[in-house]
Amino acid sequence: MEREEIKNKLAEIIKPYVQDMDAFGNISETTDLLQDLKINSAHLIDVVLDVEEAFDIEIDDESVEKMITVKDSVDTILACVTAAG
Amino acid sequence: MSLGNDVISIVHLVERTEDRKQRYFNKTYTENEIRIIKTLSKQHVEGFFWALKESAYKAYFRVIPKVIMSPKQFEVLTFDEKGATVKTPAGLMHSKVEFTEEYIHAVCSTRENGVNEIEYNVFQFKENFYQEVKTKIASYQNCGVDQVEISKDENNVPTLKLKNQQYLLSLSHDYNWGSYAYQKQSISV
Repeated sequence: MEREEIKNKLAEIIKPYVQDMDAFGNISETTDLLQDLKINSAHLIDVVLDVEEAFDIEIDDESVEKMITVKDSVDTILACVTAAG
Repeated sequence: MSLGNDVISIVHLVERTEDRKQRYFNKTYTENEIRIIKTLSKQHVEGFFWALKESAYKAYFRVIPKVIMSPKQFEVLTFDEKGATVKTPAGLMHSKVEFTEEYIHAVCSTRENGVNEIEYNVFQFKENFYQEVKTKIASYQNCGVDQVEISKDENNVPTLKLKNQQYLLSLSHDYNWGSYAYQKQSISV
């Protein structure tokens, strides 16, 4: 799976949780999920669960800790998808 | 001393299927927390625990400004009608939780009974959250809005300047619900 494809799919997943749609319109790899998109931290685990379902992967606690920006999240997903073969 | 607060809009709490709820619990709570939750019959218990964890995170972050995305590192050790204690990498937080049919609000302090030293408020807002916070504080303090200043440091941690004195401040908002909490005792003159 290509990086760009993962990024686009991730954007679709997080969209329902975003509270700053202007920031979402300008989403980039440096975008911070909580600070920039104003996703409520209470929904962060739901984002992770949606990602697991969409990509058919499991993200462990250690990897969840790294999902701060879009880039971090894409890297994490890519690593899990690759590991899953 | 450090403090934190968090508000959660109940109507925006995510409904989860049983399977998903189990996966959510496994990623969010320690075994001890799940044990406590199972003894409670409270509705929206996930909301209560999240508000406790998030307010504790804010109090932690003021002491140790390092982002931690792991909810399990902010562990609710005790929870009852009087309050809760939350273990964090910056030490134990002593918390109080209040709720209505519309929101859940948690406030915490690094000090035992420290919540009594905190002024806090929960309110609905329409547009400018920060302006609304300033207006509410000015009204409560019986001063002009121009005497209320909110600033943030390089780590995005807020401080309140009120009538030329500085106070520790914590802010939170979730959809149209907002809250603030500040230490009653100023930190400088």
